[in-house]
Amino acid sequence: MHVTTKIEGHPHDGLLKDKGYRGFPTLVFMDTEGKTLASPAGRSVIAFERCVFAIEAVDEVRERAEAGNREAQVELLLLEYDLAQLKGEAFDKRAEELRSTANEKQLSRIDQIQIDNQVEKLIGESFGEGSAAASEALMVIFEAGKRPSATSFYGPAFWIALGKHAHAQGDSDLLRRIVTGIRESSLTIKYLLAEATRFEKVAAGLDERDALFARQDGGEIGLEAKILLLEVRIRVVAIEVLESKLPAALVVATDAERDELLQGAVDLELEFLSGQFWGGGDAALIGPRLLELLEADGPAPSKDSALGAVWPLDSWLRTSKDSALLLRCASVIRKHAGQDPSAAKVAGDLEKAAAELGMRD
Amino acid sequence: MKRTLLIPLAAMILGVPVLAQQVDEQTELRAKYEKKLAKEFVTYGNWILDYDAAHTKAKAEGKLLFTYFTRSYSP
Repeated sequence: MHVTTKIEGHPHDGLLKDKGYRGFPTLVFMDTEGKTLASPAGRSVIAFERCVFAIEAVDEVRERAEAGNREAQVELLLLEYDLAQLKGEAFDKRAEELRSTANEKQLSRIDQIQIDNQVEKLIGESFGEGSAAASEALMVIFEAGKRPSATSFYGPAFWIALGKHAHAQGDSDLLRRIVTGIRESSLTIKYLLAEATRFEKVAAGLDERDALFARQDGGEIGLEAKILLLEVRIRVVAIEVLESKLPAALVVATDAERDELLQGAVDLELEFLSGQFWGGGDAALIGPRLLELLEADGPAPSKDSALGAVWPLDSWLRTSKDSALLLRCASVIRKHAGQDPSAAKVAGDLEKAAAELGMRD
Repeated sequence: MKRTLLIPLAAMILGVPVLAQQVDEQTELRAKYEKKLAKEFVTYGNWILDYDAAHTKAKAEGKLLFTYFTRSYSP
């Protein structure tokens, strides 16, 4: 194991960079001379085992492939993938050239790698401007019964992207099919399973809302608060829609419903602004409104929503020279999210920066 | 004469806090490194942390080196 420390004089501290890699963690096989041989194509035991096998087999297979043996050429393609020497489009291009000579087992592996490549590409696109198109393309893969392999690094992201898409569509049946897919995928990653549980709750909430709509269509009155509350709880209402529906809902709301609706309005705006920040929004515009919401005398935000606002605030104030502003932010972070150790650290850092500015002044 | 004395003096005065900050940072980095070394995923599995020692052992035993690169300087 090698630890990059940034400690002055620490032996081989730049080894990762020297070997031509970046990013942590990185797994690398080297020969006895320290020459890099390969990096496993995934973070799994199977990927590790395949990489070791490929290191041992590649020279002999390459020799046969170069001698014109077509079967060996397909084998070489798969070995180079396992050594992470061939990825994405480069793999797809060579796979298409060799597809006609691959045996059934090789074909099945090539198909699965191409699905994984496609998922990886679409997940990358799902964070940018083409996110809607990427979600639709991921849905096409899902509806065709194709799934990322159990060892794919992007498997969890595939399911979460699908779930978010179904959530945004308000489609409870689709959400339940995705939850089934997650459970059948044999992925046991904690946050993915937590997301599956959340998707189930959203699906149940959507059905409950449909039942309330049906009662409303049947002539029952005074259901506005219950419907809006459900929509807030399962996050299927946009902030502008909430603001427009809120006055009518508050008229018929019980005291408890009223408090939850008002807190929900604060939470939704905090989450919306935090989402804008992570989507590349300007922290200098988002920060002041976040601070205003957290300092307001009205209903307190939930801990999770307040926590989501901490990093946009931190980013906004990183270069601030206004000690009073730093202290105001530290104070609201401590008040609303201080129980969280990383939020408490941000508050502490802001207080420290304010104190240093005070000393300088 | 006065001017030439003032410049090194100012440099010394300004330099002291910078140096102190660098010492603080290095102390913090060392503390982070120690904390990392104490983590279960590092202590488990008999990892060799000294690259030169790992290299020598691999050479002596004719084995490949499998290296897990991680860092200690981040929170």
